[in-house]
Amino acid sequence: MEFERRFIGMDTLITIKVVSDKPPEQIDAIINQSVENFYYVEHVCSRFESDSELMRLCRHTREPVPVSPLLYHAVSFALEVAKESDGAFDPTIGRAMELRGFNRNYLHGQSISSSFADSADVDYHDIELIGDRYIYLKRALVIDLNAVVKGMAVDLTANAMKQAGLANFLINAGGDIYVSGNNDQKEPWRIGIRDPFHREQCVGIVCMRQGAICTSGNYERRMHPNSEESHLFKPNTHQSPRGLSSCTVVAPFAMLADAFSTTAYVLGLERGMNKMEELGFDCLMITHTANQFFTQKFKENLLWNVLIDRSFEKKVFRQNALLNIEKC
Amino acid sequence: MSRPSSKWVALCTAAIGITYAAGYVVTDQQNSLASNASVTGTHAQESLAKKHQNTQKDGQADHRSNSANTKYKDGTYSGEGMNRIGSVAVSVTIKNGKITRVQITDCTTSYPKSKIEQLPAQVIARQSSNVDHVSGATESTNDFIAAVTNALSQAQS
Repeated sequence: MEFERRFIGMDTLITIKVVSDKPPEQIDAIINQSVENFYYVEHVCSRFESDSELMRLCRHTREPVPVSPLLYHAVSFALEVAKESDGAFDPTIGRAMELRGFNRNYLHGQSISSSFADSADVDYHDIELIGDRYIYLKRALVIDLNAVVKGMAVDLTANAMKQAGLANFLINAGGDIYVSGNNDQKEPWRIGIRDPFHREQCVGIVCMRQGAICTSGNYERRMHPNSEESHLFKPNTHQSPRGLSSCTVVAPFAMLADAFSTTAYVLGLERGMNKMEELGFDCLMITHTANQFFTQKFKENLLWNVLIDRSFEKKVFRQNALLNIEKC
Repeated sequence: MSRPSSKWVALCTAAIGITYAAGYVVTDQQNSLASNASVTGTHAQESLAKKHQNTQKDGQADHRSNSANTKYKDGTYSGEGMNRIGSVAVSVTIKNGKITRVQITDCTTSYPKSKIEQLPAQVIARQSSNVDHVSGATESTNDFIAAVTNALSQAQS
């Protein structure tokens, strides 16, 4: 039987699907326990709560601060991605994000303004790790872990579900997806990649039994409705890249797919694709002109499936969905 | 999948493994900077209890500096709102004056798939007949904000 749970966390819609023969009460209990990871990660790593562990860390400059293993590893991972991308990914953009208007807590609407961190030219070299427990900020800055922690919460949740004995499940945190095992048809999970230009449609489908897929794009979070500027921008110029509409990365962990879809998007078509080939992550980029670019093994590895009839109207789309569901 | 660089796989295996094994740990820096003590726990329920204790401590500390954080009364409130999906109902849980849970009430309990027709049509449409789920740029929660605001208005103290 298939079970589904939906809730709101980390400013997005989170869906968990489980296929299992275990009794519903047991599944419910496992899901309840597992989703604690989402609340925990948000509680520790939110940039929008002045008393999150992350924001308390940011208010301590030039002194070593002991942090929880979660915060330590989230920051450590973000710094590794920053090094790998030569700064195209940079976790010190928090204050710049606030100034771009990404400063409101989505739940109660209060905004945050970290004016203590107004020195404009900080970068990831200003964060140092000491031992395996301390973080040292050389200058006043706001750490932004939003391209890491959603994936990390997905990975922790997936880990908890596996430990609890579930083999077949899907976790979708607003498009950041991890799958394990099979769907209720006893087939690999089928994940559609959203068409950035016709958002009710997909450009194609990938099939996966194990692993994560994440898409970064400029079409859900704009600074203003008609602006080209979004939450994705180059740390050095503070401008959104212009060439790409979306970038999808497949990786063994959601935190990898999450961070590297953002990184590759910011690196742009050529450098981004080269970096993904180098690291061995399958990647699909869609340009502003709707051209699609794939890493060499993408289609083969993921049984890429282009929807044959892409002209389906919403109505037909909906009816098919209902029919299909009733059949199960 | 291609062969992802082993460095990154090792890094994530360690990060997730260690974080998971550590359980729900929130270091209270105000305290630990002074006394170098931190709150630790295991993955069992007791750790959750400790986490909540810790949250409470933070909440009290805030009470002095920022009254905005204590404007909600503890409890669970439901709210409804209209949006492009249709009508949406949520339940918002407040603990220690803070929002701790937002569940979508018509979908929160597990149910067999045969009941899924009751979901708003567009939610189903977005998933399409051919796919289990869709990967796209992170969707915002704008569609649910009216319902959340509605619930929060009841929680105002």
